[in-house]
Amino acid sequence: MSDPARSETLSSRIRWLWGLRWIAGFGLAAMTLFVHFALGLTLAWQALLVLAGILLVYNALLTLWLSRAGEPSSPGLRGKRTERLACSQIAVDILILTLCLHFSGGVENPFVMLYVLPPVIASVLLSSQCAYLLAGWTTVLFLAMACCHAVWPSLHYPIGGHLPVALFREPVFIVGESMALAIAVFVSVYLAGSVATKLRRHEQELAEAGRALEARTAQLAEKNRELQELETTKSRFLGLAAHQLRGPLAVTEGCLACACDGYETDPAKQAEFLKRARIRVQGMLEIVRDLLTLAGTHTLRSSTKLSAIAVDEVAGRVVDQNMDFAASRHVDLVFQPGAHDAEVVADERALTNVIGNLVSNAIKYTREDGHVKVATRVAGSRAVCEVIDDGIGIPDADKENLFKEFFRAGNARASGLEGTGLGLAIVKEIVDRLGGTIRVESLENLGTCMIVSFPCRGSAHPAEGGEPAEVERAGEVVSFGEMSASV
Amino acid sequence: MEQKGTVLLVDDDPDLIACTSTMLTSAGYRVVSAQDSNEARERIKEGKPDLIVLDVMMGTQAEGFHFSYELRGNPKTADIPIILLTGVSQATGMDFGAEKDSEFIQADEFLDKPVNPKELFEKVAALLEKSEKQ
Repeated sequence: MSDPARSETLSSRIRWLWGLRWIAGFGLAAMTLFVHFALGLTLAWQALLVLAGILLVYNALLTLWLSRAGEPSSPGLRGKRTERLACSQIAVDILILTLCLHFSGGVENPFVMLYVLPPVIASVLLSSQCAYLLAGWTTVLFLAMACCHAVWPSLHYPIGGHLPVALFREPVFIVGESMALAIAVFVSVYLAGSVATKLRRHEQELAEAGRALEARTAQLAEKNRELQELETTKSRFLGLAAHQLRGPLAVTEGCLACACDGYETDPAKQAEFLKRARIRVQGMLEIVRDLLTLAGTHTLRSSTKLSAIAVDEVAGRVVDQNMDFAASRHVDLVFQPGAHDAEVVADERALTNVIGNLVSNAIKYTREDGHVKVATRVAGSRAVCEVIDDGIGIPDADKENLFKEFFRAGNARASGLEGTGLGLAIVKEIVDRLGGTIRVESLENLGTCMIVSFPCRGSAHPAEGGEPAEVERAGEVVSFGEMSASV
Repeated sequence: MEQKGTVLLVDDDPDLIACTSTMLTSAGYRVVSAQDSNEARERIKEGKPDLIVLDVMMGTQAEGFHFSYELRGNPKTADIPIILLTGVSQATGMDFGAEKDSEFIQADEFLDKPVNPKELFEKVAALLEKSEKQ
């Protein structure tokens, strides 16, 4: 049980003791009158009634004082104060019990066994140290009372008519009674304390298990929600992929029907339909290839192929591989290395894929005599690669969907150039999984700048969300119209 | 072969136009084609077709739907039967039917891609026959 919880339980139990004390006080008075007047046994009944009164007044004053005293602000202090208060109350109760017994026969009083109760209550409510301390206090008081009566008989108040022999003066009886009481008190304290400790431990374990269960339930609910989202994403993606393949398949089916089912009888035109079908099949193969690449990105983080890779080396190689493509489209392609020896931890093939996709897109969507520049640099702890072109650009309305699967900007579709719409989705997926960031700056009909950055080897991965300010080129606006001058 | 009528084919995919056009021509129809709604309007001005086969998704997601509404709203073209070509039913879960969707979608028939030639011929013939009787 946590300290605040234990302190709360203790406080409620002490209030229960107050209630018991009212019963004890009135009970003592009633019992005294009953024994003396009803049973006819002689008692120092006035002293006992005064004791009952003291008990009741003491209880009332205690209640009043506690209701007026403020609670300590710290739960720890509150717990300690409650324990000390309870311990001292029980010690006073034992003292009053001793006085009651003193005025009612001492060791001869059969209610001597009531001495067991206060230490047992303490062993259940309080710490074991408190309980044993009170057990010792009980034994000491009883011995003191018994010895006083034995040595100074004038102090003894007998119960007249109870016992024929003055046992209070018998040493053997006193020793035997004391030993019996001490054993009863200490064994009871031990047994009650063990049971109480086990119960408290079980309660604590149950409470902790309950809290762990709540936390686990909350986690499971969160995981369930994530799974449902993933399921929705998966279904949507599957639907999109199937839809994208269905179009070309429908056309292929139509072309083959025309060529093979007799709708077209001219052999030259039949051959033309077969050629169209083949082109569509090749387009579908590209879609499938890109889908497989996208599917493969999910293993990137745990890939054993992660290694330190020089960014300039990869970017330079990609530019070399695209030189022929650029030449075929009469686009000027240049590489401006600036990352020097900067390395990033990545899968080399995946990084090549990222830069390759961006470069080939830039070349594809740049008109004849246009320019594409690939530039690398280091910005703080990150390696940056920029692919800048003065091509058709991206309309503002399409920018937010640019990295979605199968999305192609309106002007890209209108250009008549083929594309699966998966290239940038693959780029984004790889960049995210390698701990990088990607940003787009573009103006329609002026050009596009794709900025990819990765943490350099040895630097910590950035926090999620947003690109570090060091990657921003403060105060510098990318001027696509002046691209040729800058190259 | 005697010409059975003039069909205006509107689709942004030139390969699909080539296939469907070949199929309809082999069945005896004269086919005029357009790759978007603007071109289609020009073809209609040049000569009113007897029937229009219209792709739903062209430049924009619902260009075909919008154009069909425009045709129905124009008294000069409101009586031309329209067959909508759609590939959206399984992507979106929407299953179009002439009877149940006629209140919302301005078309006489629907055909799912890939177009089944026999089904295309049956629907074109039926709509043209119905149009002649009216």
